[in-house]
Amino acid sequence: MSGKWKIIVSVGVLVIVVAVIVFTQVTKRTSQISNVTPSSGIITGTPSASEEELPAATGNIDDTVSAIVSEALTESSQIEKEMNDDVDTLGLDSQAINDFTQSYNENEF
Amino acid sequence: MKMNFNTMSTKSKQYLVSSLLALSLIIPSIVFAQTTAPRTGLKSGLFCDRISELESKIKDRMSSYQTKLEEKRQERSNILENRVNERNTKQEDNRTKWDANRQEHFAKLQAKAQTDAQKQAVNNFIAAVEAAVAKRREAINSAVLSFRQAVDKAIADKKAKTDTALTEYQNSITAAFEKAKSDCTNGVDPKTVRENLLSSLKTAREKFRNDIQNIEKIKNSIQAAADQRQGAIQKAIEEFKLAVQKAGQELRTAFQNQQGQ
Repeated sequence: MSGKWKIIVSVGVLVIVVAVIVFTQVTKRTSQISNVTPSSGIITGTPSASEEELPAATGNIDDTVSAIVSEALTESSQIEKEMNDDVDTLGLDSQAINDFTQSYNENEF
Repeated sequence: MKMNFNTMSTKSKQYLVSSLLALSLIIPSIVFAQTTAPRTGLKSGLFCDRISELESKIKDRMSSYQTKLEEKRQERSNILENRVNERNTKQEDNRTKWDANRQEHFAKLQAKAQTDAQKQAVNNFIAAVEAAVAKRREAINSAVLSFRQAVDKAIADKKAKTDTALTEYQNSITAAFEKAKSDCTNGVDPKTVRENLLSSLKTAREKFRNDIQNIEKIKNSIQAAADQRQGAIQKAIEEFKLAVQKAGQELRTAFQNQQGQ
């Protein structure tokens, strides 16, 4: 009987240790994901001027020039992305067109 | 009610065993008959009787695919229309905010200017920057408009070419079935009719596949149009940067000269 109890206790301890390890790993992973997501920019996309902070006016000529140029760079990168999105929409009906090749099945003949 | 084989009467047992035996003979013959039906039909000429049924099956599928294609086309049209509206609003909104931000920068520079010469230099800087901003925005607007027109044209081209390819494909299918029906009427061996029909359908399908592969190349042309417009935008940006940096340098010089006097 005591031998049986030894096995039960050992297995029980092992199960608890595994459960603790799994729980720790899952918690760690979840916190890593939540830390990465907001700064990745992939989910939220390119921010508009209303969402981003515009360069503060300082009265410094270099800062002024830099602020004026940054408007142009922000706008052009946004337009570039939009153009690429539009190119992709051209293929939106491609699968539907390709489906016509499945109009007949030789096995039905 | 729970049945037990041991408690059943001999007559019931005999009946059950006979039924199972009969089923064991019937079921395989049913399954076998289902898999061999077309061959049997082919041998006896029944294939010719099934031609209209096969043709209408194919036409039903084509009709269903056509509906899906129209839905996709409409979906794309809606996406592009919404995008244009959203982008125009967003761009206008962004430009207004950047204009306000630029005015804040100008105001700080004006506040910093002490002498008439410095004030004049700031005014010159503002005028140069505003002219450069207007020129850049005009160039971008023109590139975007031109790209949108290229996208619209590419979509219209794809639609026209796809519709032509589909019409030809459908006509080829109809012609293949008409030929098969005519062959059947003229007593051609059903096996030959079937082979010829399949061969014609296969040829029509291969041609259609080839057509749509060529149609998909339209995407390359629109990508080229995007690259070309992006190049134009980059050129406008570079010119803008140079103009603003030059104006900034002139302003710096004006302030340094005044401080040096």
